[in-house]
Amino acid sequence: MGHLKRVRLGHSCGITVVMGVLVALGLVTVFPYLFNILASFKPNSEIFSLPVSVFPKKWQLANYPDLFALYPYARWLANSIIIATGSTVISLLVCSLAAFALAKYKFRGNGPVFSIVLTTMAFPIAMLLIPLFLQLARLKLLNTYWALLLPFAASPFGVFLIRQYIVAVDDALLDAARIDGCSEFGIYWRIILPVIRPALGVWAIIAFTNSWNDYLWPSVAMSDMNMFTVPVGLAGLGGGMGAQTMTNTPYGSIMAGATIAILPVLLLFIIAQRQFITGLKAGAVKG
Amino acid sequence: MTGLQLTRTWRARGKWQARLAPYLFIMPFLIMLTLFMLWPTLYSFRISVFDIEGLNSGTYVGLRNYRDVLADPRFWISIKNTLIYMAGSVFILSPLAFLLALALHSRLAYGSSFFRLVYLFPAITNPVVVVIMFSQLFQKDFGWLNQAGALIGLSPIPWVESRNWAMISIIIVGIWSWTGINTLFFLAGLEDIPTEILDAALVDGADYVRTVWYVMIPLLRPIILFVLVQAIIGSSLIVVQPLLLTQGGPGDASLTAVLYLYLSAFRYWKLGYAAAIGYILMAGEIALSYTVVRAFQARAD
Repeated sequence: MGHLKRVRLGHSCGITVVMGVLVALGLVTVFPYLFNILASFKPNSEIFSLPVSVFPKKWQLANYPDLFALYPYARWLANSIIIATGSTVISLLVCSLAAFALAKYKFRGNGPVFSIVLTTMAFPIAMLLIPLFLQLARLKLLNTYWALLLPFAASPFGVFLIRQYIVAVDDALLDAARIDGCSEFGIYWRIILPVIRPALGVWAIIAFTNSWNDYLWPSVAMSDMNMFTVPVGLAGLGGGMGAQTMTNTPYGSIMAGATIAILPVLLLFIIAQRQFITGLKAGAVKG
Repeated sequence: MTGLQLTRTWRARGKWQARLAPYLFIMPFLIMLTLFMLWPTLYSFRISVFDIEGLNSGTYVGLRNYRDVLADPRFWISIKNTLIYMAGSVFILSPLAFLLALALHSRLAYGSSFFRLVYLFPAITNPVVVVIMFSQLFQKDFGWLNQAGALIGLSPIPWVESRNWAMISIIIVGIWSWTGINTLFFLAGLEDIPTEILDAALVDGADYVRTVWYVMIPLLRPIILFVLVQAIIGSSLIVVQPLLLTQGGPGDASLTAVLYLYLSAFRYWKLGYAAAIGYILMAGEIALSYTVVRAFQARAD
């Protein structure tokens, strides 16, 4: 009896410790978001007044219209949406076509191309900033959408990920289509693409997130304020430079901009958790 | 046309198509990869042997940029800071992620899948937004960290404004951002361990700590290697957080290696010099990951 009691006690003690850790770290994770979102509803004077409070004393929406009035934020949003969507579509097409070739055809070059894919998968993008900048400057493509749509759409990681799914497709299915007179491209378009829809979903979500969150290359490629993406625009607002308290900096509006910037990915994450986790587990998200 | 002839035409057409098709399918990817990754990598070497300021074509200087970089004290400061950050990832972040994975994996955890999602969100949050959020939390007079510290009697810490704390601040941001995703990796490994093995260990009288040490960790070796290599490579490339949170300052207290490359190229416009930094970093990177993998294999034997 005594023994049983001790086990029980140990058990509930364990639950308390484990749950305590999980909840505490959960709060630490959530707090910065909570603070940021709530601050976007505070007047600027309240953000810089003591004692600090989590919830606004006076709720106000003014920061949001101010954000759009003070900065070309609407334009930045449009740029980000066009670029993230466009590069995702390009990436899906280019990567799935290449993955199909590598997974289902024997041809000279299959082996070498696949080893190129494997070795370039973890390639540091930072190495490419300078040559890409000079190359695109010469082609007069800086400050155009192409500068952000094209360079990273042909992703070795995308090819690798999608290839794994195509390998699993039964060859008999493809041969049956060939006997029925289906062209090779028809096989890709009408059989492969529908069958590997889950893989396309995973890659679409990861490619979109990577493009939406990218800062480094867009900050180099876009110097015209009207061509900024959301992160480049936000970084320039002075919100990141917390060193001095500049009460004339509209922090409330910057917080509003930051809140809007994380919304699309947050929504995607909630809607498509499974695809996200598959992609994250594969290590496909840029850090 | 007879049936035989028809089959022949189909075969001929099919063969011709099937032989050409893979080349056509792989072409867009190969062309884009060559234009935007392979060729730029080679081109970058050409840039690194020129003295290029801004967009003009520059003069050939041989390996002088490389010598200059290796003799540049700022470069070595940036390497030191990067190694400090890396140490944070390897010795604080990764073990923390492992402990968190154990907690989530344990039968004592309720709502495990909910917490998993919460912990993952920082990894997919825009790094610029992360910096905006944290620069508010780090703010000396009004920031929450110092306000919370004041409650327990700590004097305010000048987080991003001080030489001693700047790198620590960036490590804190890194831990907040990436612990969750590494937890996910460990968790995937833990879930692959058959429960019979763990039960057997418990039946044999091993306590939880011993089970972790003698059963789980040896079985998780591939995952641990994966997480450590990711942590080392990922942290060696840290740039956006210091760029926006501290701009490498104060002084060069939080200047990291890739940040020095970025600033050399796009603030000081010394593109040849920056390209040389890039090549030196890449060589270091390859040597580093090779050493880590070898060290791990040696321990396994």
